[in-house]
Amino acid sequence: MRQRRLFGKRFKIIFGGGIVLVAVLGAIFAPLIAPWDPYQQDLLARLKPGFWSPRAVAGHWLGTDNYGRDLLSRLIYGSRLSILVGVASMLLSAVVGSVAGVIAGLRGGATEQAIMRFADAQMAFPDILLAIMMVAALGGNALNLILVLGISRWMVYARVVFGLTRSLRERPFVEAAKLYGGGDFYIMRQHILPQVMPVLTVVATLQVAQMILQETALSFLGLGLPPPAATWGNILAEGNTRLFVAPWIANSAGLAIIVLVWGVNMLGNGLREQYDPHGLGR
Amino acid sequence: MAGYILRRLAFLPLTLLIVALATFIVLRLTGNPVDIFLDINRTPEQVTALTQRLHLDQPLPVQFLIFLRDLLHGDFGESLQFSGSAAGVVWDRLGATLQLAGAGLALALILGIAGGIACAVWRDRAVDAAISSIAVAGQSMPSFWLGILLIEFFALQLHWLPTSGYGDLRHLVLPAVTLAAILMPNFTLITRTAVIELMSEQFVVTGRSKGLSRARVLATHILPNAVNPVLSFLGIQIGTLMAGSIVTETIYAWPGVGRLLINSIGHRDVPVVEASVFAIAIIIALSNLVVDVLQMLIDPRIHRG
Amino acid sequence: MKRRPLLTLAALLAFGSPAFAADKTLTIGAAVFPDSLRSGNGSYASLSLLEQTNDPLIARDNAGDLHPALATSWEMTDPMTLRVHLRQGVKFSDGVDFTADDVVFTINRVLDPATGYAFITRIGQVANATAVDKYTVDIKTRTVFPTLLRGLSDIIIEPKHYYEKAGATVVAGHPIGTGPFVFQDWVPGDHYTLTTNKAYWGGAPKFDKLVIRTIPDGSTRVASLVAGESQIIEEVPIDLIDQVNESGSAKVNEISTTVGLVLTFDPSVKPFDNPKIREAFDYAIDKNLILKQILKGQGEILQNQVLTKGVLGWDADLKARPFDPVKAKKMLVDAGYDFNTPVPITTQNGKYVSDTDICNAVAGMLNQIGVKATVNVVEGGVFQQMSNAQKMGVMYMIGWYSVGDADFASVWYTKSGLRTKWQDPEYEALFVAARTTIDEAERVKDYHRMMEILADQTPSVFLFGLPSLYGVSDSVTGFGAAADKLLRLTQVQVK
Repeated sequence: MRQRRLFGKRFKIIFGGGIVLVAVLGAIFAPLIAPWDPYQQDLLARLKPGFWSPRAVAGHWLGTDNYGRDLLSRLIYGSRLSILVGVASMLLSAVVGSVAGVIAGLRGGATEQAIMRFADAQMAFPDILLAIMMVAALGGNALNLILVLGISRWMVYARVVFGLTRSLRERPFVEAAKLYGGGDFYIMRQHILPQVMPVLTVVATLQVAQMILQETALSFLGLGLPPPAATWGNILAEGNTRLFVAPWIANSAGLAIIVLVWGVNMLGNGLREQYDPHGLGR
Repeated sequence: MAGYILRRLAFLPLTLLIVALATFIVLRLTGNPVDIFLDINRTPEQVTALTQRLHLDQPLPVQFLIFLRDLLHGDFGESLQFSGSAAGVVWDRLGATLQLAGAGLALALILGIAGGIACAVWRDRAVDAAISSIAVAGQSMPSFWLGILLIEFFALQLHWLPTSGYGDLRHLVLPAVTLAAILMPNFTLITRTAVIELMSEQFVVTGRSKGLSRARVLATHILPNAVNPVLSFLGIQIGTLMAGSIVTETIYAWPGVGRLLINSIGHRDVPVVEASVFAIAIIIALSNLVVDVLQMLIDPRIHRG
Repeated sequence: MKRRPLLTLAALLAFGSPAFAADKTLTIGAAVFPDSLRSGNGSYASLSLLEQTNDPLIARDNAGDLHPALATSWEMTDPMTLRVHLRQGVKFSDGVDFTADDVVFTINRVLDPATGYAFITRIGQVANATAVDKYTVDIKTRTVFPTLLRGLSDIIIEPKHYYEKAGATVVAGHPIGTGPFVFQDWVPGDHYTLTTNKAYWGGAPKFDKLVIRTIPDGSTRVASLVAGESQIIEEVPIDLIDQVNESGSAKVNEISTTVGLVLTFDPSVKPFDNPKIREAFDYAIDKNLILKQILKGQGEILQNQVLTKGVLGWDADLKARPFDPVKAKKMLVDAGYDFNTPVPITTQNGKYVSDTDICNAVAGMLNQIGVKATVNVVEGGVFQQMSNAQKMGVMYMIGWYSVGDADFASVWYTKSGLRTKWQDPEYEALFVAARTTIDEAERVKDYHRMMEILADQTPSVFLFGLPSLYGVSDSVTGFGAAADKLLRLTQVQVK
């Protein structure tokens, strides 16, 4: 058997991280890179294919969308909102979930039962459902979307952090801190967080990928960010209804999503092999 | 074992109570159902009648208690948009959803585990690279896009399968594949890791040295143990499966609970929304229990608190 | 290859045999599928299904003209009484005779507020119905009621004996009527199956079985037509017209509807209380370009009125404002318009042909002259709630049906219509006058004046008369697209 690994953890971290880095840089410098204003309509040039076709309109490398907007520019700008929603909702759920997990782990007893049973119950409640109901009620703007996606996933972190905290609770340094009257948050900051951070990073990275996909699913169900906002989910959902006449719209957005999510997943898996070899944070 | 199952079942009402409360609160937060359900031509009599029927004239806590009381009798009230009881409407759609989820899950398990074993057996060779790459890409693919691509290719280009709808086995293929694609990549990757780890374990090495064939060792020593991590992953992903079926049912016009739910939220058919959410929660909770019990049966070392 | 028969056999055993009989089946892909077969649901999608099993007294055809159905003739015995003579020898599909009792029962049931019949507004001025003899009915109105005949065409006649025996819930689950088809099977959210009524008074349909399937997604609907799974589909998405026409197996069949798509302002919000600003918005929208590019030339531009061409009350003298962005911008500047005002335009998605596309294009054109327009797509239930609460925001897009008579569309600009905050006393007075006059020329004059007031005041920007597009397989003949989107299938033949 050959020894060379096709996907070593270093390869995963570098390659996955590279993709993520490119996407993030593209998002930050979108105004400099994008050849067109992503909201500029030109109805006379709608649904034109890109460079591969003789019907292409000069300057629109990936073609145009339903309103004659430049697809490449929309994809570049779209990465901003998609990454923002993915990362911000991940941070929200990570903070809420970790705090809940630590408190449940440290306090134990009734507090633990209340928090963890609630987490169990929410597990039995499909996250997309919660998102649908909240977005239908509150309306779709970036903040609501982040809020909704954030609270639909806090349990994932709570369960991981709870498990780790409980195993740390009996350790001497935590016992000692308690003895000297350290509060929950003090103990959390000083002793627990540094211990769970590696696993948390892994879970969080993988969750960003989930959140980006979730945004596209909500867009498909008509519950994403309202038009004309350029997000990858919006572009894909809009393109989907015209897959038969203008396949390049959905396909290029779909490919962009696959590559970024793939990169994020790869980075996450690489990090897992590095920092969490026992798979606690799966 | 029986004690464990009973204890878990005893927790079920608590879970369902929280789900019920959450649904109730969210539905009340999302506007007055009377305003949404009745159209502009509504008469004051209709408004009063519907308000009373939904008990909206009572204070909120009382509304919730009434809701719980009816719930104990399995009564969610009459559907606003369909004729008949909400529970009945959901019950009629449950079969289609279970059929789709069951087929999707079975497909994901069989192909996922088989793919994972293939990856592990031919580790770091072309087969592994190909299957692993497909799995990772599949993990990253928005399922509604996959669905439309499948329709385009298999129904429109090749004319092999129907584009959408509910009917015989042929109608089930594309929705089941679309749904399976959500979980299958993870099954593949988990199985792959588990099998690779097990292959270096002492009892497997011993088995091989006793002269057992590779296939025999795989079947008797490795597989039973590799199934466990897959099952525990499945346990936490049943919710994802149900969420995926909502999207899949929408793409393929599949008459299941998921599409019913989306539709009922749009119309604020409160009784049907509550009954559907409840049905989905029960499915998830019971599936979790089944998964846990299976895990214990396969590996008696696992004891649950 | 050898294994195939065995597989087929196994599949048959496991999943039941498909219909092998030489039955001719017509399968229709429906865009909007009602939630139940309850009569009086108040949507045309619902009426479209109900009219397969039940007839009205007076029926519309695809163009919207009225024809005798269960009523063979009618006359006004006095200005407030319509005497209707019924078709004799007609039976309900359970074999019971259709008589005046059924008509009286149906109309009084519709009028009872406890029924919750949404189309009650169509015959809102009716006081009661009484039987004169077995085949004659008198319908009395509270005021002179010129739209009564047209209103009756939306009311299906239901069997009295069946309601009394089984109750409304059972009827809704299994309707019985005098129509061209007979109920067979209803699966909510999936399909509706009917068989032909061989004894139909209007001539039995020339195929055996009718299946109406719901396929909400436009491209999937087209796919099912092209793949031959359905023979007729509703609402072909505009951009897929070429795909259908070039498929070699189906064609698109188009007809203008009476739906006028309009953008309505909220004049209670500054600065939209200023009619000059509303007018300026109208000048900024290039309707020709949208019609040509997004609607692909299907449908029509509304001529600065809510009515579509040819409808009773349509004013041929009014013309749509030309596209003039320079003038629009100047008017806004002159009126002191604050270009930082956010202008969200509320719309639904998929309710009307290309609705979000049109809305986005409009917003893009307003952006061109510096107006901060955005599109606010809301889900149907939310739209309904906003509408009922009259909180639609500064602008919203909606389509109004006139079904051939100005009364049905112009009501939405009156106080009692509850759909605009714009009000005008002269308009109100004319509306009441036109509604209570029998003389058609007099009514048309009133409506012309009302259309002028709307054109002058611009409570809405009037955009397009929308088309109705059906995809029809080449294996089907005798089908026509309907302006009111009701399926009329008695003349259809399946090859």
